[in-house]
Amino acid sequence: MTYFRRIALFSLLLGTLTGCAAVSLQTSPLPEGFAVRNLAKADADAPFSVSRTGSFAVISEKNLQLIDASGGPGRSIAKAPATDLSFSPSGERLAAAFATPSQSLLQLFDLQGKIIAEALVPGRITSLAWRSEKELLATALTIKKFSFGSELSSTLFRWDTVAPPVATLLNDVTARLKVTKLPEEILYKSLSFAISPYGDEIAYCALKDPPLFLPYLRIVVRHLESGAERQVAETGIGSGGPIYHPDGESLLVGDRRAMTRRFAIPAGKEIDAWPSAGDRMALSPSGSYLLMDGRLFLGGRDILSFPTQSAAAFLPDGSGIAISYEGSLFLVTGLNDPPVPRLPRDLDRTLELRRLRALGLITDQEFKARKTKAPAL
Amino acid sequence: MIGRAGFCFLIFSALFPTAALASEPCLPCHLEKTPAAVAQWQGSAHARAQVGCEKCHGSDHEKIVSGAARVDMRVCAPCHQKAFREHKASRHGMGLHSGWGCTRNRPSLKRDECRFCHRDGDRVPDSGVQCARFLKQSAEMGEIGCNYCHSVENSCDSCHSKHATDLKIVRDPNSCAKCHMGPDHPQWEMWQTSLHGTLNVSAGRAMGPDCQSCHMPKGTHDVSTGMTMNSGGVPFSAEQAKAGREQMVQTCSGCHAPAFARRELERGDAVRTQSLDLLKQAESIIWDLNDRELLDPMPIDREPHPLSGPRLVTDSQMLYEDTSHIERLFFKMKKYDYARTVKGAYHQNPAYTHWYGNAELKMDLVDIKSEASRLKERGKRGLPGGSAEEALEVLKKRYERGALSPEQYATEKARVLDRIK
Repeated sequence: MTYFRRIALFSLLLGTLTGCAAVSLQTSPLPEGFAVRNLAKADADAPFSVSRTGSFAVISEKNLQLIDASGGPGRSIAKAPATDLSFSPSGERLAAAFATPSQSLLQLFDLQGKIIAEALVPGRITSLAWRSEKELLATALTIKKFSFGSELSSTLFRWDTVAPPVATLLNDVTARLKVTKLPEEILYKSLSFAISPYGDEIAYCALKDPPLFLPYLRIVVRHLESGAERQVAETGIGSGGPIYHPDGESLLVGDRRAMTRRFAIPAGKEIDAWPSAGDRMALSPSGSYLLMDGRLFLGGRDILSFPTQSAAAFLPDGSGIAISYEGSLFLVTGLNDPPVPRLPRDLDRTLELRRLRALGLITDQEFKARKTKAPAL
Repeated sequence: MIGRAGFCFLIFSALFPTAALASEPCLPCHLEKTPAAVAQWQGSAHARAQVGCEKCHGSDHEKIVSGAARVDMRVCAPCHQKAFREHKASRHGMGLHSGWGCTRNRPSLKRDECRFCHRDGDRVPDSGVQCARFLKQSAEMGEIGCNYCHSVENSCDSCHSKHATDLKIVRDPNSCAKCHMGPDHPQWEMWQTSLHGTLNVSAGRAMGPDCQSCHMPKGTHDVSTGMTMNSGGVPFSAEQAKAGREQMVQTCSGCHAPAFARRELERGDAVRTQSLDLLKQAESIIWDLNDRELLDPMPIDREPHPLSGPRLVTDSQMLYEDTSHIERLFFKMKKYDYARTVKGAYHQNPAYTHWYGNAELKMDLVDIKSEASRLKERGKRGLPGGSAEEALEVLKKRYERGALSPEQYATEKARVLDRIK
C-alpha cells in the first residue's frame, strides 16, 4: 500500500468514525431534468430563507450565515441562532428574529451582513413575513406559567423598520397543564401565520383549550387594516400551516390526524384534501407544486419523494426547492413552475371588495360577481 | 272601670254578637288604635258575613305590622272566585303588572322593595314581567309612582278600598280616575268631557254611560271586554280583535243601533291606523339615525337600558330618561300623543282626538324630522357621498332589524357597490 493510499484509507475511516461523512439527500428516482446539489451546512430543524436574488440564509452551527446560490463558503453575519428568517420581497434585506430569555430581538441585515435596523419585542417571535418592502410582520408568543396551567398570549407586530413595532393582541388563552406540558417547540409552532398574496390579510393559528374537550387550533383570517376576523378552519395542536394559496382565496392547513386540507376563504369550505399530516409543507409560487411531508406533488400527482423530515422552501422564481435535511441544505433544480399569477389590474378595487367582504358587509358571492375580470398587469 | 273603646266593643257585641266573635282578639285595641278601619269594617258586608280581621290579615301581628302579611288577591280569591277569575283574565289582572321588575341588581336597593313582588320567604316573584321605567326609579318613586296603580294586578283594594265593601265606591267612575288620568292615558278626563260624560252628569247613568257601563258590563271584573288593542295601543290581529269588537258592539247596542255602533268604532279604528302610521314614520327615522350612529348620545354612550343594555329601545320598554333628545320626543309622541289620539277617538272626545292628540302627534313628527336633519347634517355618516363601507354598514343594520327584505337589501347593496370604481 502506498503512502497516499494509506492516507486516503485513514481519512475515510476517521470520517466514518467521527460522523463527518457528507450527507446525501435520498430521493425516489429524479424526474427528467431534475438535479440535486448540496449547498451548505444547515442546522437540523433550524429556519432558513431563500431570496429572490439567489441568496440563502441558514443557521449553521448556531450562527446565522448568508450563502450565495453559486456555492462557496457562507458568510457568518450573527453569532446566534434565529427563531425565524425571512428575506424581503426584493431579496435585498433579511429579517431575523433572535430569542432572549424574556423577549425577542428583531434585526434587519443587508446582503453584506450589515445590521440596518433592529427592535426589541416582548415574547418569543415564532414567525416572520414581509407585507411589503417597507413593512415586516412578526408574531410572538408569551407564556406565563402558573400552578394550574399557563397563559399563552400571541401578539402580532407590524414594523415599518423605522418606528417601534406596533403590537396587536391576536389571542390570549389560559391553557391547562396537559397543554403546557407539551414541548415548547410545539407551542411555538402553533403560532404560525401566513400573509395573503394581496398583503391585506393574515391567516394565523389561535389556541383554544375548552374545558371537557381536547385543545385545538382555530385558523383565523384577519384583515389587517380593519381588524375584522373570521374563523376558517380548526386543526390539532402542532399541525403545519396555514399557507396561502397564490390565488389568495384559499388556505392549506395541515392536521396531525393525517389529513391536509385546502379551505376556501371566507366560508371555510373544504375544496381539496391530501392523506398526509402536512407537518412540513411548501407551495410553489404558482401553486402548481406542493411539497408535503417529503412528497412533491404536481397537479395532484406524486412525482418525487424526499425523506419525510425534509423542511422545504421554493425558490421565488419557482425553478427549484431548497431542502433542509439532517444538517445540510440542498437545492433541487429543474422544476417548471408556471408564471406566478399577477395581481389584478385594478388592484385597489379588488382590495376594497376584499375589505368589505372581510367586514361582513358583502357576501362571498357578491365579491366574486364583482371582482375584476380585467387582465392582470 | 272600662275605657271608651271597651264600652263601644260591648255595645257592638250586643248588637252583632257573631261578628264580634269573629274579630274578638283585635277589636278592643283597634277600636282605639284604628277606629276608622274598624268602623269601615263594621259597616261592611264582611262584618255581616262574620268575616273577621284574622280571616284576611292572619294572626301573626308582627308580620302584619311589618307589612309582610299583604291582603292581596290570593286572600280574597277563595271566597270571590268568579270575580277573581274574571279579573285575572282581564288587562287589570295580566298586563298591568308591567309596573314591576326585579330591582335586586340596583345599587340603591332597599330591602323592603322585595315585597313589591315577593311574598315573605318566597323566591319566585308574583310576576315575571319587568318594566324598564320602573327599574329606573327610586324605591319611593317606584312605590308611589308605579305601584299605587299597577298593584291592581294583585290587590282588590286598588278599586274596592281596604275595609269598606260598599259597591257605591267601585261603581263611581271616580274610582277609575285615580289611575286612568294624566298625560299618558287620560280616559277619565276624555270621558268626562265627552257626550257620554256630560250626559252622565246632567241626565244620569241611564243616558250618560260611565266607565263601568261600557268596560264592566253586567258587573264583570274583566275590564278588557271589547278591547281590540293592547295596553300599548298596538292593534290586535283581525282574528284576535273580532271577539272584542262583537262584545263592544253588543254593549253599545244597549243604547245605539248596532250598525251605528259598528260605524263609530270603525271610525276609531281608522284614526288608530292613521296615527300608527305617523308613529311608524317617526320610529323608522330614529332607527335610521341609530344605524348611522348619529343619535346623540348613542345607546352605547349612555347608561345601559335596565333590560336591554346598550341598545336602542323604542318598544313598550322605552325610557324617557337617559336617552337622546329625539328619542325623548318620540316617547312623548308615542306614550302621550298617540295614546290620546286613539283613546280620544274611541271615547268620542273631539278635543282629545284632535287637539290634544292628532295635532300634537303631527307636530311631534315635524320636530323629529327637524332634529333628524340636524343630526344628519352634523354627522354625515352613511349619507350619499359617504364611503361605501359606511353605506353598507347602515344597510346591514337596517336588514338585520328587519327594515329591509333580503331582496331590498341585495338591491341596495348593489347600488352602493356600483359606486366602487
